[in-house]
Amino acid sequence: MTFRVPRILLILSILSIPTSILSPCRAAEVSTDARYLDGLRQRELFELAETYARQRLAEDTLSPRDRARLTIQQARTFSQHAAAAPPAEQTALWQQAEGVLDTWLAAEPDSPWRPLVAMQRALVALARGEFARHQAQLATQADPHLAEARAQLRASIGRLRPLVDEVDRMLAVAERTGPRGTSAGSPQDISQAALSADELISLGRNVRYQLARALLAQAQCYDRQSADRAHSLTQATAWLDQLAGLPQNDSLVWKSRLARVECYRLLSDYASAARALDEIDQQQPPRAVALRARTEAIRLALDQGQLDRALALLQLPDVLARLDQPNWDLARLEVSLAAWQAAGDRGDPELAGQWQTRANELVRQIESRHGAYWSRRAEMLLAGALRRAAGSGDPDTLARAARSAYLSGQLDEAIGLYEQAAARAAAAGNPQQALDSGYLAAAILQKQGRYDQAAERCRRWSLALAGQPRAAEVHLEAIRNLAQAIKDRPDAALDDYGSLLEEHLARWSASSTTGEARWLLGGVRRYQRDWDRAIAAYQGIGPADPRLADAIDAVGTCYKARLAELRADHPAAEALAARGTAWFESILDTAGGSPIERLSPAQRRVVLWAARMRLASADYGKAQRRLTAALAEAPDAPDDWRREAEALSVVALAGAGQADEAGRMVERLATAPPTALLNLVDQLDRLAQAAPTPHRQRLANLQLQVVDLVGRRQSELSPDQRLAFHQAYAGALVASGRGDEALEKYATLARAHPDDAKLGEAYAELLATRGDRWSLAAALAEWRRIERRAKPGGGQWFRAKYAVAELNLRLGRPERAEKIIELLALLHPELGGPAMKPRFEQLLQQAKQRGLAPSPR
Amino acid sequence: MTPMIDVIFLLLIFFVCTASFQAVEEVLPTNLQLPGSLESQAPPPEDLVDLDEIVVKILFDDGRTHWQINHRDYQDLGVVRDVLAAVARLKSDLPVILDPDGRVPLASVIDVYDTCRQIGLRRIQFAASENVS
Repeated sequence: MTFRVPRILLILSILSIPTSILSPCRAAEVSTDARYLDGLRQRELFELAETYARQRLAEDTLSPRDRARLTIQQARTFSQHAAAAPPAEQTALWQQAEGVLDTWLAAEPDSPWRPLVAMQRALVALARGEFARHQAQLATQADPHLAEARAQLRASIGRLRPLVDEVDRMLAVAERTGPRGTSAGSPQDISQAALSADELISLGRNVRYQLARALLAQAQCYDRQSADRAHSLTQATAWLDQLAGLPQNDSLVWKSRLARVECYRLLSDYASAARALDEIDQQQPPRAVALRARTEAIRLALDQGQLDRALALLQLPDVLARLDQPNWDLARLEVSLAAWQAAGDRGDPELAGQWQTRANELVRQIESRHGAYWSRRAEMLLAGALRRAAGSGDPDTLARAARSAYLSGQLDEAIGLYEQAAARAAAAGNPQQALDSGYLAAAILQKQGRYDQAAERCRRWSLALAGQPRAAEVHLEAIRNLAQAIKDRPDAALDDYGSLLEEHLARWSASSTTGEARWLLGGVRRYQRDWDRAIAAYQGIGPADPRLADAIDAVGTCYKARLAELRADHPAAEALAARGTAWFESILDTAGGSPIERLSPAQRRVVLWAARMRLASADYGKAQRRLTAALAEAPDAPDDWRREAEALSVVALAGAGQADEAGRMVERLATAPPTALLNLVDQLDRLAQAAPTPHRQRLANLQLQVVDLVGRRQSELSPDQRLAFHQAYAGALVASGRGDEALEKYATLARAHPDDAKLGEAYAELLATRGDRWSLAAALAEWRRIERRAKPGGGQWFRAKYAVAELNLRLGRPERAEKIIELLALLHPELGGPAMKPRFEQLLQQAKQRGLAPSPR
Repeated sequence: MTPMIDVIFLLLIFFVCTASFQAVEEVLPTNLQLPGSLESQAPPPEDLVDLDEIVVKILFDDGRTHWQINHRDYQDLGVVRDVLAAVARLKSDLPVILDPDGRVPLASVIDVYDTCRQIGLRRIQFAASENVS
């Protein structure tokens, strides 16, 4: 979080050359440009003001006096822009402000307006130093800002000191050469004339006041007890003494007197400070000055340890009570904090508590009345008081102190204070505040990347205050933090993560957070390949949850994966498919059992999955009816969905034996994405493998029909899709009994893609289906090649081993087949797992029998 | 002068005749097939073409030796011997490649080598790095 130093402090610094040093007639003349630029600056249209000033300065007709004034205005614009700009842009703008003044000073060594521009140059440095000092008060790392402040203030002082002498010298000359109050003989000469004696007197006082301000600011950049601080304050007091005796109608007199009180107080010269305050009181100051003086009086009393006097000074007369000054409110807070500390020291906890509550109220008041800068200063005071009164503090105060510590960059302290605030709030029967504070402690830990600890705290507080409305959200934060903590070691801690999600669902089953928790839990179970629990988690996601459509897809994907695992176990697969179908269809049916009239996007996805489930359990008729109905109920469905539904309809019709109807449906798929068509070929291929022989030919023709559709759009295919198309084409040729064409196709493909093991296997298998010796030898060579490329011990490698042994047997070399299998059993006793091992053993038996049989002569 | 030359000549003939040169190492007869050598490029014999060559990796971790035969781990040299004996019974001219890790003590390599020889495996080779020049 960043705080902006209040603009008014800077504007006061930057605009410190009073127009009163100019004669009334000149002030009126100046005002056109100055008022325009002022207006732009007030509206923060800095770039417009800068452009305007630049354009005006480019005019050749501009008089030297107006050029000087516009240059000062331009520098003010840059300075104010710097104070309002983001930190990254500030330095450049400050430099521009300095640059325009330096350029003018270098170009105009003898100009009579030189003191004004030189003073503005010193004021830019002063404003920059003040700005850095205010930033140091709020920043996490104060030192760089303090160093910057000291450097700028030193530069400002270095420019102001000689300016005092120069203005005095010019004043002496002006008093010798002309009457006071005039600077030129005629109005025509005004634009070229030098400053009058009155103007120089006014300028001289102003330079002195600014010099004192710079010294006072410089003093506050040093440590409290340091000699540098005392030295700067003494010098500032000396300059202010010169101004404090001016007539009361001078604009600088009250400011100087107040600044002098502050200097005395900071020098611990309390007697002089009190005397100066009395003088101010006796001279009937304006109300704003009176309130500032009262503020200083309170601070003086506090510095002297006179709490009762400070408390008495808080009682304001009505005329002053209506004024609104942030410094006054801050002083009131200082009194409350001092009273809290004093009550604590006296062992009066009740009174201490009352003052603490009062202090909290004041901090809130300051925040609402005076904005972030003063609120931050108030919180810093509060945090300091809390540190002094260690062990005490109500939850409110502790939370504010924690916030202050956090903003000061003391993160560990902030965490501790928030934890204390949470514990005390819980003990005081304020569970909401306890949960908020506990959560903030965890949030800081999270920001520091200490996710484990953040998760632990979020979990602890949410479980302890589970009845709170935000508890579920905080527990979900624990889950998110744990996810971050274990992201580098997911396997080791996945069970803990899953348990936390289960805990969330058990504790807050009706919360709005359960959708996310179920989604995350489904992901965990899916990663663990625990399909049943993943399905259960996804199925729990409610109809109003935005993740519903994705959850439906996730359920379908899990069912599909589980069905693939159960491929060998038909009854279990059928039962699972039936369960999946029932669930998907339950979403589509209303409570009364009548179908819905119009499908939502999520329901459209459900239809596809329900159909896939029906197809998986070979229930082609019902799948077809469901798809036909859905296509009718979703006239506004996107084309992709319609094509997908129609593709599934083709499978359903083909499976139901309605090949002709399926063929007609295929024609509608001409515009379907090639991927969907290739997927359809694959599904039809699987259907054909399980179909009885007479039906297989018709399915193969259907495959060729779909492949033909893809073939028409070959130009749209990527290289991978093109390969898949050729493979599908070759597979369809095989299925349709066009073996020679298929073989030729495969041979071409295998030559073009020697690294494609799947293709190689298909080619080798096709070769092996032909009984002639040449084909068997070619198949053997192909399998040997696959074996060499496969990873030893992998599934493909065992398949290749089996095929090599079998082909040796078929080629009349039983003893070699026997040796291959025996050696394989010796080196890899598992023989490729439960699926492959019986096949190897059976082949070995055959080889042994053939080896024993007499060979034909 | 002449007798001295005669004596030196006789001594020279004596030392040449009596000198014994270091014997050629024949205790561990083995072929080292380096990559690119003619033998390494030659196709395997027809009866061995479908049989896996036996690769015995000899590894050394945590101060003890263990073995891998065709990627399968063995912790006991006795079991390694049994497996290799079974291989030898199946086909004794099957190539066996010994691939010792750089940290394996020489004695452990010799143990495996001796085992192979004792059980009758005839074609024992040592694995060579491809960057051997």
